[in-house]
Amino acid sequence: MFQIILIPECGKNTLPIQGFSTIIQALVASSKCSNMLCSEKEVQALTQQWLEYVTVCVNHADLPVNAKRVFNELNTVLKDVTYITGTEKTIADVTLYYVLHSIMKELSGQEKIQYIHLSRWFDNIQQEEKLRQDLDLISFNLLHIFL
Amino acid sequence: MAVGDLKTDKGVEDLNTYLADRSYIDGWQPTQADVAVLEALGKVPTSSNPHVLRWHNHIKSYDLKSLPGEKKTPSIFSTATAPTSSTAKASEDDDDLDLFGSDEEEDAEAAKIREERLKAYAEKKSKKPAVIAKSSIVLDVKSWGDETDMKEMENAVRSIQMDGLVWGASKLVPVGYGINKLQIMCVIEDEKVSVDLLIEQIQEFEDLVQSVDIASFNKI
Repeated sequence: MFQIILIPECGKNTLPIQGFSTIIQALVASSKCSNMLCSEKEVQALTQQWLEYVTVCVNHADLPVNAKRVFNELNTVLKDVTYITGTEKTIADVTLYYVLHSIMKELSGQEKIQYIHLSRWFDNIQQEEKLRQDLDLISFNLLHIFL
Repeated sequence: MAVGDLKTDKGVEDLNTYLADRSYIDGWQPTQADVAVLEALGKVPTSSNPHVLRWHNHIKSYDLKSLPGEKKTPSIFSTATAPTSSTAKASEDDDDLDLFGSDEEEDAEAAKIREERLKAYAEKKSKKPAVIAKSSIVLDVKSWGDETDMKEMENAVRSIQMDGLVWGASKLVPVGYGINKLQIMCVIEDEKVSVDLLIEQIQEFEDLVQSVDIASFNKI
């Protein structure tokens, strides 16, 4: 749906900004939360990579087969890190949260356990009210019973 | 759930389970509680506890001093000082949720506390100096007759030296007909000195000593 967008601050820019990842980055850069794009080059690169991943893989996670693969991949990544790009929350976390919310909502307790790292990450991200907006809080409360 | 002493492997495993579905020790952002637990942990966790390792690396990436919150360890972390009360509280709190795990945890906790107490007791015991059993003895040393030089006899008796034998005061007690016996006190360490051997040694001064009796024998 976001194919072309014009950002007011970039008005003098003659070329319109195109593409999911680029648009998000441009929006964040011009927003009050520009710290969501980390200043470290490595983290920036990772952020871009994960934004691409959202378009290429997570967007197709409405099919159960794809969802399983995506969940496995994310779970593996989140095993060693607290946020998807490492130790700082970036726009990639936020984007993934919105994209995954509808799918995570459907997961059973058993599946949440299976993707325990993903669940932990998701639970942590969704706690910020400003970020959650009007989305439901997904319950991960009883996870420790299954562990 | 409760987390045991972080200095033990069991405690770190507990922490690992605790952090499996949590990003931070307390709440949803790094706080001083994380710092407190990090310091309590002390060492870098091994990869056998992946959740602790991830959390450790994450917290390390912050400037520890700048994190918000009060620096105190949450109640689920039992420390050596208050293990019983905190576990009791934690299990009470969890009663409505944790239907399966609490009993087992409590048992493990109780066993751990018992072990700690036993260890502390053994340590205390080993530090206490072993009591050296001593006896105070008064010996009656009888001479052959009134011609015996009592002074010489006393010197002879006192010349006996043994490890753990200390001679004490002595006096001459008249027996009758101008004959005296020597009463001499000594303190011996029971383990090192045999009274029989001591008496035998005194009786070896055959020229001077007729017989030796034990007048009194007291444990100190």
